Amino acid sequence: MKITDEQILDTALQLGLDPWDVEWLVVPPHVMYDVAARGMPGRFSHWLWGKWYWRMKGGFDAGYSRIYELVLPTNPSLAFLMESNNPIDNLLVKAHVLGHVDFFKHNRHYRDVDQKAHENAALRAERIRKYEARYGREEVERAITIAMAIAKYSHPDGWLGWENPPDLPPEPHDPFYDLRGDLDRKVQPATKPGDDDEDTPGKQDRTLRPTQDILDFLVKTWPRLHDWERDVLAIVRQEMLVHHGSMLTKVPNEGWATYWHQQIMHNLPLSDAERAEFAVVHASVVKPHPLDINPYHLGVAIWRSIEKRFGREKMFEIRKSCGSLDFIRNWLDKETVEEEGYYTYSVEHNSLYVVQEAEDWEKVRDGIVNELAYSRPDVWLVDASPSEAPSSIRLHHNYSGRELHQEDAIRVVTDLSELLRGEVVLSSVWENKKQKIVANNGNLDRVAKLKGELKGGQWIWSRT
Amino acid sequence: MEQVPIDWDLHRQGEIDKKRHHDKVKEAIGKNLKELVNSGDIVVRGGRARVRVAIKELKEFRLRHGKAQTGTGAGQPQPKKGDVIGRKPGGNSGQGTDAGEEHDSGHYEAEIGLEDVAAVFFDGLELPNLREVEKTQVPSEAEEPEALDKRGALSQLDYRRTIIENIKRNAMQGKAYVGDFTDDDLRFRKLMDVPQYQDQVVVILMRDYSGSMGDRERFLSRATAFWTIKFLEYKYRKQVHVVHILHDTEAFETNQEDFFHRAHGGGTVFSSAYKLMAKLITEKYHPSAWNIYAMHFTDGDNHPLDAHVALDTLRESIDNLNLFCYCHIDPRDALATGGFTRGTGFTGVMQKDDLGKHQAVEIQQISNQADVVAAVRHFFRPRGR
Repeated sequence: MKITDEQILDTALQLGLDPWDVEWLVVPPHVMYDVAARGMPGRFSHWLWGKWYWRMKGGFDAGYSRIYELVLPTNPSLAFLMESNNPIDNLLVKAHVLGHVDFFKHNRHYRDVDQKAHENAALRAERIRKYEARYGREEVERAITIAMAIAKYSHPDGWLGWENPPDLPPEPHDPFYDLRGDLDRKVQPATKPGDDDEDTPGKQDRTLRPTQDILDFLVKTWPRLHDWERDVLAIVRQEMLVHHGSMLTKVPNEGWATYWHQQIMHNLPLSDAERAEFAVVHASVVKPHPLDINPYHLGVAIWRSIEKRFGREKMFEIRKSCGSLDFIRNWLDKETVEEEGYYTYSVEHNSLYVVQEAEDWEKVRDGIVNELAYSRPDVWLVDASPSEAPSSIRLHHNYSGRELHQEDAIRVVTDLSELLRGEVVLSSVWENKKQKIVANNGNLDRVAKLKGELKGGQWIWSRT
Repeated sequence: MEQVPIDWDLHRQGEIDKKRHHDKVKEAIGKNLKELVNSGDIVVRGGRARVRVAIKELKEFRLRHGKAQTGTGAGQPQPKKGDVIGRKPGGNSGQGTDAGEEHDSGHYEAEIGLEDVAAVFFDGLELPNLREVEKTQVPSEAEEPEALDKRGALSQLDYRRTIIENIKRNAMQGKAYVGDFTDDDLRFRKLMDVPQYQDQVVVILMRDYSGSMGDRERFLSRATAFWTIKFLEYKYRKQVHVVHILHDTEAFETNQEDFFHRAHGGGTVFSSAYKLMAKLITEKYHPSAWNIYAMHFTDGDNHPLDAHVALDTLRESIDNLNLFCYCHIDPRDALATGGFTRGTGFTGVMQKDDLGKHQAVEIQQISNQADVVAAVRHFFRPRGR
């Protein structure tokens, strides 16, 4: 029996979901993979998406991977389905998408999302095209490539400004300033030149509020950028922010959509054969992985646990405020860890995966949270001297046991210094020693060891 | 929710960006070609060059963690502390933060078509054209020269093709329509068939397969022969005939497999090969109809008493050859063992002789893969007329 879109939506609404409108687009593979590669239809052109498109579509053409659905947090939500999906796939996908869109509408991390991102992406793409025509495609492309290296550090709040800007009365000190923005961020105050540095950017008449949103800082303060470069950086940042919400809510979001696609499917008049088919597809979606977190698996397991312990009302409440980290920290319990068989592991002798924690469920939970929290290195812009010569910025990686990939870091720092037309310094810990990378105007200057002992195996930036 | 039919075929953005990425890869390959050949990174299999390239520009650089030494997973039954749950393949850097990223540090593996590699390799190279061959008229499927089409008497104007050219050009400039004709759009019927000429090309490969040539030498010979033939095919735009001659004290024709792989023991007499070459030229590849390229792969180790005979034999043939490439293969780490000294160094003899200075004679020493590229480029360098 053919099930209509209206039926699916009605079932979802009856179950309590409240999504934005969805615009369904059934597309051939080359469109699906193009959107997946660039993240938003209409986004400006760049070889980065070309590379991802080639890889992802190649995987599809060769038959070993497949994107079933792709939904964007716009309003109305754009949802792409593959032409080649069979009817049961499509049912599952549509139900799943409705779960996502309900999440987008109600979760706080999407509150400030640009609901017209697809339209704005096209407008921004137009600006990029004009810059390419006017200033050269290679030049614009290069600026974008460099900006993309640090784009993931963008935050909707942006850079919060100077602590004591000159010629202005000092800002009233905001005691809650470090609680703003993402609750999991710890904002450290800026430092004075410490005695474990050989040299630092010049003496300041104002102090930088440290930030991770390097792009925003550059857009707002850096004098050595052409106007078009400034705009390009702002555009890259804007586009990255479109996905900010999704980056922070991966586990509960996928879990939510999975939970509800199951509920919806149960409530649709399917034949036995169709139910069996659905069960197979669903199983492949939530299959746990031995070496990685499957967010669908973890997410739906936690939601079910919440339902079991506190009821469905509570689920709806939690979905309004949760992000991946607090979701897992607060709601993953002993029973779920044991039932689903979660564990942490380490790599021994560079070749064997050995289980570290399994019996102690709290350590397993903490391990999972840590993996997610540190999927991106904790790098901060801690100091800068944009209006002095040489113009320079100081980045610091808060080291707490996991090293940065040094070669890549050198490359990023060197590229950044090229874009900034100045000096970029990145300090971190490699081989248990405090070190820094210094680059100037696109050239690596040196990688130098710094004075000072590593205390407690960490180097977290703080004002001394 | 109704589905408005959309023509998705017009959506080419993915392909366009993919091409942009591939163009950049090719650009980077061009910059690094010598290093690639040098480090053995161009592997030619079955006609497709497979290139493994460290192209830093096309890797996405990000601040990321290095080797991931920890992780989390799930599975039933839940394992215990200390259980081994898997083994890493190859001991490379771990999954880290980018599943799907390059599996190695900085190596981007690209499969590039042989044509593209050849285009970069052969850029700027030319045929020596030291000898004019009276071209034979041969039935061929060569394309009609376009230049002929664009000029002609207006009475011979080919309306249909002209209109097509016009639409194409307008489309490229933004909008496909018929109008705003330019001279470039005009196409004319040809009054008569232009006779097609075709150059016939033969490459005579000779190799000294006596005991003093080992694996490395054979590899370098093979690479040099391969790229030379590829170049000739590229330039003449057709298949070239290849003759394989192996020799030690005697010479004989053989096939491609044997030519590159056979090894023998014993002494060497170069003139045997040159005599066979001369014979083939007389009997099968008459210079009036053939462009003849000859290559000799050797380690310079000729029988001392053969030097003059070899030179004289070669002298007789040299004016029939477009090019004679004498490739002295000498990987520096391959030394004769057993305490006997190297041969007379026929290479040196030839260099001192007038023959060595003949315009069609090229002498190159090939010790490694970089030299292969250099040698081929030297053979076909543009020669001022």
